[in-house]
Amino acid sequence: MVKFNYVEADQRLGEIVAKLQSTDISVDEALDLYKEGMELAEKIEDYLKTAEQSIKQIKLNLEKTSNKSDSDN
Amino acid sequence: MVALYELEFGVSDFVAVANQTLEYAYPSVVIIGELANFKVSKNKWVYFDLKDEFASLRFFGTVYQLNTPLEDGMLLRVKGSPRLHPQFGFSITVSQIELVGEGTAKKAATLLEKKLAAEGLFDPARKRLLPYPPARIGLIASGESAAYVDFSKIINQRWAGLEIQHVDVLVQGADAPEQIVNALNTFNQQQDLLDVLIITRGGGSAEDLQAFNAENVVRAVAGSRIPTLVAIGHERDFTLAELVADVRASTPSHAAEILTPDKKAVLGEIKRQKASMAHALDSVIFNKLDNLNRSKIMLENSTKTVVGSSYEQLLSRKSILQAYDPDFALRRGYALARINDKLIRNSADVAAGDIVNLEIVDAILRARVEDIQKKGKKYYG
Repeated sequence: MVKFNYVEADQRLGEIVAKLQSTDISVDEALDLYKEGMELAEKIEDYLKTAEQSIKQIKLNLEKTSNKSDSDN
Repeated sequence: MVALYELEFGVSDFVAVANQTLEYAYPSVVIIGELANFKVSKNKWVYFDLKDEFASLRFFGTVYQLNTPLEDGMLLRVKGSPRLHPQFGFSITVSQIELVGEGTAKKAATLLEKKLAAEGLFDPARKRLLPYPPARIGLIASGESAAYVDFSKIINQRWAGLEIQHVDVLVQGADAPEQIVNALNTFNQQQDLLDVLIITRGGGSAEDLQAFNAENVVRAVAGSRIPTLVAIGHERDFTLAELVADVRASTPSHAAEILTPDKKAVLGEIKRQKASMAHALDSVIFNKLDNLNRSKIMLENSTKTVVGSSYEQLLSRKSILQAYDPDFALRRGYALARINDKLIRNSADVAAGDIVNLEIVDAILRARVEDIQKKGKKYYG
């Protein structure tokens, strides 16, 4: 499952907003960017509103020789 | 029955028996006393006494058990096993050393700080920025503590989608330093390193917090490949672990605030960005339309000009042509004079008595030349 990369999405959205506001951009380009930007914005909003936080317990390995970590479910 | 006081022992035998008895009665014992005659030999062996008002006991250990620099006068809690050494007499073999009291704890921290500062561990240039926001974090804290609860609550409020791995450790007591170091090592040796490690606990006295001034803990935090955020819930007298971490927070809640943005604020920003995009798109389209309009008007104007001038040209050419049209001349009353089908251009072409044809607009007249009257020197033709 590919996890949603918030940082990348947020960065891309910022780029799109800046580009849309630049002076030399054709109507076609603007329409494409607008579409991409709105979809991205929706995705980010969705993520922030619904993504679950997960807490995993990691067992301390008290053996000084081995350092493997186990997850405790 | 043999009375005990009648038993005879060889020297070694008695030493052995005494040790057996000690092992049986006090396999492990914890003693509190004031440090005296502290000595390290060959950078490996540690010798010291713990004393009180009336007595003193000898202790023997290794440097690997030392978590902090020690100085005579410090109050210590030492866990060890008593034994009667065959040659060197009675001593207690150290297994664990803990500091007792505020004075001792602060003194040890100060000594260690000097030592580590000299190594450059507190150098601001060492500090790394934390990934912001992080996607996967490690939490080293006591699972039952208020610190854990506070941190978890705030982080859940503020952010979403975080992967949190938690190692439950003791944050106080003689076993704490080892557990904290262990947790740090565990995270640093994972295949897929996490983004940030958060080490947090509530406040306490210097004695309570001594694990965070322990040399092994401080070095482990300093040496962590993963950026560290240490949050100990107090404001004054920072522990060395906090000073050596990449980022310090004043409380567990504050740590959560530093770590991630507030999703409410971010959602507001996204809304604003959506509006910006819509507005920008409108501008682009409006500008385009405006340009098209301008172009249209310009085109219309220039076409009119072009067409207009062409039309005028046409008219003037037409009237010029018309002037050359013979029919046009005839309609105005001129006649074309011919002799033998040839146009008479001047008086030399004709003589008196000739028959000539005069073409007028609607007929041809046959006429005889009666007389020729020459005009002046002006010729047309």
